[in-house]
Amino acid sequence: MLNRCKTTKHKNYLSPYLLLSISLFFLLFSAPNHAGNVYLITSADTKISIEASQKIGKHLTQTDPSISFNVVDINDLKKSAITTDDLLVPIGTTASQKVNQNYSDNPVLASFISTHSTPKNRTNWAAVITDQPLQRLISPVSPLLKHRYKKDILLTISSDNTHVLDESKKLNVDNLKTVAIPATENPAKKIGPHLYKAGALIATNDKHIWTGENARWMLYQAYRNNVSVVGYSKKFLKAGALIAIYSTIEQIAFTTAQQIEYWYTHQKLKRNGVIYSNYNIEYNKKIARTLKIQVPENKFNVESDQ
Amino acid sequence: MIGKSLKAQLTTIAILPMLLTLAIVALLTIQELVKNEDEQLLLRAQDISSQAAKLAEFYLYTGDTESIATIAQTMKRLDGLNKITFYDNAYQTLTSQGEQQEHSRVFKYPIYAEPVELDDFSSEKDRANPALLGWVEFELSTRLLSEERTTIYQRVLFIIIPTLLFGILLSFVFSRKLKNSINSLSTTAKAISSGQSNTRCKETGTGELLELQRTFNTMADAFEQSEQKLQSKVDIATASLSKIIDDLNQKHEELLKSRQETISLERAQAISTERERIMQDMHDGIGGQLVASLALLEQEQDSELKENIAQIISDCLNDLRLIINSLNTSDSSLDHLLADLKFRMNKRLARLNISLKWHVDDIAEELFMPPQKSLNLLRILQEVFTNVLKHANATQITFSVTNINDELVIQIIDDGSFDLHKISSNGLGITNMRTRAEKLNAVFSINQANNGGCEVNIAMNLHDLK
Repeated sequence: MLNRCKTTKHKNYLSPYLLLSISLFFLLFSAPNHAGNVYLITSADTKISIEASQKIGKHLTQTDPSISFNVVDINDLKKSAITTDDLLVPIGTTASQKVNQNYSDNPVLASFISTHSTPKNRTNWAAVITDQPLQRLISPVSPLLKHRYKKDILLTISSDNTHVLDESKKLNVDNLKTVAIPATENPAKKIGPHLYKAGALIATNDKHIWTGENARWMLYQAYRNNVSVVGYSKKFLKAGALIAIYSTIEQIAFTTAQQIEYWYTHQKLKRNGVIYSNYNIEYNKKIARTLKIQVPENKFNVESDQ
Repeated sequence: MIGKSLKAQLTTIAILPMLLTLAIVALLTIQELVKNEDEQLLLRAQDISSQAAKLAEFYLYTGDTESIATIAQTMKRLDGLNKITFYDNAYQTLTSQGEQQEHSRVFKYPIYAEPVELDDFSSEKDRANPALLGWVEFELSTRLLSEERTTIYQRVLFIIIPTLLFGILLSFVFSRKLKNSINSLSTTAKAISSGQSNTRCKETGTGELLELQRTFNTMADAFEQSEQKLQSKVDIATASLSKIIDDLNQKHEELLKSRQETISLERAQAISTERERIMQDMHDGIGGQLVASLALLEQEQDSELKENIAQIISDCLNDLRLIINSLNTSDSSLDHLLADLKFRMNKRLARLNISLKWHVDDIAEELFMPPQKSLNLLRILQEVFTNVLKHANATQITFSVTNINDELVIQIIDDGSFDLHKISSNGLGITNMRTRAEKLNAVFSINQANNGGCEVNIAMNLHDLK
């Protein structure tokens, strides 16, 4: 009584392969025709390089998942089959210098380097730098000096820092006083007499002036003379500066990812030269109270105007 | 080593550990001081170098020699610092203050400028190393340490001595308090053991000791109550025993009395038996012969002689009866005795025409006299009546028995002739009456009556008769 008649189903083996073939055809002919690959080049000796590469990769994946990129350490770059059409993205100064030395024909988008590390005598390059333009550093100072009798904005740079020197000249700010310090002299000693009239001291990314013991004594002198310091990194806030204007690793990574995406789409760099990222303005309220300066309450995120 | 008294023991127990602790602490402190002398000197040198570095580093950085000299001058004032010298990073002398002295040690420290890292994206290899700014060299006097050591010794002593004294005071006070409490307990226990069970311990202690004192007092209360109960039981038992002894004594006395009575009874029985035999013999013998004589005499013709003989025989019979009665062991009522006397006297008085006034109080019915006493009293009365009949020529005799103030007074008064001076006090009749009266313990007297007759008084105490 339980016996039933078997039902036989004929399988269609042809339809899945047909669909796959059609899909591959469309994929091959609809995607952009890329001549080169993207290489994110890190240097293993800097942690920031690894972290930055991860963040750039994350932004690229989020923006356009179709963008393929390779993350390679600078020491392993020779093992990769790099062609002159590939975009090289060195992250950090070490990677950037080595790429400039060894891959002169490739387009280069350097990232996380300072202005003075940008390639010289090279045409096809761009650099998303960690520095802040002088204009950004000066702009929040002027409102603070309105009611103070010391109105000079003091800019101390190395004598050979022509880039910032030129930038300062271009700004054409009346009360901006630039003091160029030769490499053989102590900047803190040299700046002493100028601080009597200064209301603010602008700190740019200048190795001679704002690193090591010189940076310490520059801050010491400014503090002794009640001069507000405007720094180019967040660490200035902890060191005793009044204002810190800085780009975060996230912001620089985002800008770099945008530039890569543009290259990936257009097979060319969006622009050559220095590229600035979005930035933040942050105030040290304790220093403000000490200097009796009224500052805005909140931290500001400002988009880059390039 | 440790005192025997509780106070000494407690004081020692409290002080010894404290002394040991203080000694160990003092020893360790001093040892540590001596051991760390070099370390302290080094620490002080490090402090001075740290101060010198903080004050001079900027001026070393800027090469401000004048300011460094001022700093050296200021630091020279520090205690124990004999000499201080600053050098630049090329070890060229910038300034030197003070002179080298004995008992000092030289210290030299480099002064570095700590770099500041301000770049957010710098790598570790980019970071600058501390820069050598110069050197500071100074001489520290080692005398300062010995002075400090002395100061610390003084401080240690300053702490230890008051602590020790305070500890001694505390232990003395507490041990005294404890001793007093325990002594109170001990004294009370001794008092109770010596019998003063109402003694109690003063509750002067604190804490567990107070609890002990209270418990002890409670125990003493219980002990006292128990003793009182025991004493009351002993008293009851003693009383019971005394009563038993009294009862036994009483029984013993009763037994003795009973025994004596038995002996007396047996003796009386023997006497009675003998008396009865004698009485029977006298009654059956002499009495019978007298009665027979009297009967024979009755058959004779009347004559004075016959009357006289009959009277004599009759008197003999009466006497015999009196003697027999006196031998009787049972007591006789005074009333019966007197009635019998009156009966016998009436015939003789009637013959002599003498009237008899007879008055006896009812008390005579209640008085019983032993046979011997009855015989003595009857003999006295018989003698009085005989004397009246023989010598008084009286016409009337007044006989009375009265109770006057617990005395039985028997009075016999006649109206005859009586001369008190003529009676012989040494006469046999008077003497016998007085003798018999003495045996009766009675007062016997003969007086002149108001009517000239004779008055005889016999006074006896009623208690002697009952």
